Amino acid sequence: MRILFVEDDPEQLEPLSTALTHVGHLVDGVQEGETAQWLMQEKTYDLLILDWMLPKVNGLELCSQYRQQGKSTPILLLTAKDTTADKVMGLDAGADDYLIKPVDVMELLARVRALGRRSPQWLGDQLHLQDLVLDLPSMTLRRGDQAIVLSTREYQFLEFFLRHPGQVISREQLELNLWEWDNQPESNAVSTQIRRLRLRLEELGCADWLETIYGMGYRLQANS
Amino acid sequence: MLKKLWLKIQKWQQLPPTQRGIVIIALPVCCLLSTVGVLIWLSASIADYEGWVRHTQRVQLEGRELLNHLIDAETGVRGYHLTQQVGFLEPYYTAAAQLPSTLENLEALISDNPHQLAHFQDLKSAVKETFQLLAQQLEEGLNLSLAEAEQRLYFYQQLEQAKQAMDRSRAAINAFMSEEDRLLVDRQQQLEALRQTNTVVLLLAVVVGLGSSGLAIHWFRQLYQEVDLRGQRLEVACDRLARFTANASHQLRAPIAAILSHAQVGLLLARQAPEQSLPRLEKVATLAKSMGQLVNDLLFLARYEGVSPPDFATSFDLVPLIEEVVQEWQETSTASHHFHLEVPSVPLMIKGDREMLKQVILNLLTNADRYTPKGGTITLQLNQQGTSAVINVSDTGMGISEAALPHIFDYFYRDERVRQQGISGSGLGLAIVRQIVHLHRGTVTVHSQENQGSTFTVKLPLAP
Repeated sequence: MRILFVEDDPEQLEPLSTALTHVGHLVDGVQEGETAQWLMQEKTYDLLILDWMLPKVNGLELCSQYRQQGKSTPILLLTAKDTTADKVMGLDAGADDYLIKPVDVMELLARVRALGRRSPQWLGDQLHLQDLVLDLPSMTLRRGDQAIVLSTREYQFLEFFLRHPGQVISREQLELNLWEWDNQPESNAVSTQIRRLRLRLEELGCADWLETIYGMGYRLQANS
Repeated sequence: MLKKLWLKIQKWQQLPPTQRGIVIIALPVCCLLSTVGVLIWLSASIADYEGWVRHTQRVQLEGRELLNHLIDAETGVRGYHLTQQVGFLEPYYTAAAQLPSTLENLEALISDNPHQLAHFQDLKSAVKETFQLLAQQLEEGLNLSLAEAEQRLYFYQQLEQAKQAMDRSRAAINAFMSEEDRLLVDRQQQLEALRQTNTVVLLLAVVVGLGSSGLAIHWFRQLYQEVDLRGQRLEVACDRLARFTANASHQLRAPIAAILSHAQVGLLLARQAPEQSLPRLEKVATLAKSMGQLVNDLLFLARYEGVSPPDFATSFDLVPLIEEVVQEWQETSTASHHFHLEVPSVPLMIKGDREMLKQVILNLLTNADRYTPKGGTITLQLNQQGTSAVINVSDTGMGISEAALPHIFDYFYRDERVRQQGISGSGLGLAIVRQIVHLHRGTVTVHSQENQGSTFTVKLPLAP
């Protein structure tokens, strides 16, 4: 999933972002509210993780502003505030879940999975394309009785294609959706990743399912 | 006198609100009740005296009646004697018939006044004597058949006798009546005095009532203001507590959360990316150390919270202590500031704890260091003012905002500006400074202007 993670303390943001990335999510980590506001306007996310106490614009304000804009992406509040009144305030501001620091990484990942199921784009824990099955929690790709474990990057690319089956997806779309906002990809980065993914698909005998449409982009389509 | 009054007012203000409330309510009620009581008593007295006045007037009426009877009787008898006409005797008979009842009435009316009763006995005998004389004359006159000359002489004597009796009776009646007149005047005067008293009491009651109501309103307002003030103080305390818990939970949980995250992520990636473990372990160690420092600071604050200043046994010179701290601080400080140190050439002896006071100066210098950008100036001055040693630590840094000034000594308080600029700190340094200074019977104050710099002033009493 594409996640916006807003947390002012880099010592907490860095390890948690690493953990989320490790299980295949794409994380935009931001340390203050104003940048977060801009990103929430500009980009589409599957999940927002917000710290409450932020400099300038706090997490609660971000949360209610986002909801006022009519956006329904799940929001997880992550905060040191632990009173019932705080929780009520947080949930009333539009958060879907509320975690009190210090948070166990395993629990955070489980909650993120649970909130992901609520996401409007959620298609279950497995994505199918004919007899090709991608198991999301384990990043395993199966076809028939063969199974391979994908790397994080391969998994992210394949997941994106499986969510848009049969559509021609441009290089710009891939760059926008599969790289962090502050991380400009190299000019050949997309084609490199596509090449790698084809190699992996070849192991299952379906490399030709991922086509290059010249001048337009790429398409994942099952060839019977 | 004024002092006594002031003490009384203070005593009044120390009474619990319930008691004061009861007094406030009872005051006008008591005034009203006593006024009503006095007025009822006065009205009863007035009615009483009015009764007495009426009574006296009735006595006078009866007295005049008696006099009329006498005159009627005498005139009738005299007329008869002169004319021998029986028609003249009618008033006499009427008077004679009514006399006993009039006398009885009078006697009944004045039975309460022994003095008047004595008068009345004189009057009664005189009147009766007169009537007897008149009756006798009539009796004789009716039966008499004397020669005219003798008759005249006889009548003359009779008349003379009757006149004397009449005069005595009149005198007795007059004496009686004049006594009643005196009584009437007396009672009317008393009645008038009572009425005046009544008016005065009424006016007084109005004044006292208004006064007491005014006083009650004043006291009530005072009470309300006090309650209001208590409420405001409570609100401030609640706000402070809420701020403290919010700040404390943030400041205490942040390092723990960071330690836990680093450790767990390190574990998570141990197999795939073992090279990440080392920096993460270093982070964990650093964070745990700062956490330990935070716990130490908190324990120090908790230990000395609300403790009254102890009597320190040791005294020492503040000058070398400050030089020592400055040297230590300059060795560890990495920032590039201009630093000025001004210490007096005479020793300044202080009774206290060396380590604690070192902590105070170190915390103030660390803060100046932290909130002053590169190239700024930090100055530490020590001098003597009267019986105090005064330490000034001033910087040319970011200063403290007006809104933050009242809170900077609070536990865990960190100004929004500081957080925004990502300057690290626990928010306990100044709380510790204040506590240590209080333990040494000193004061700490701050003057600051945003973006101009801050000056912290610590005053410590010199050893005697």
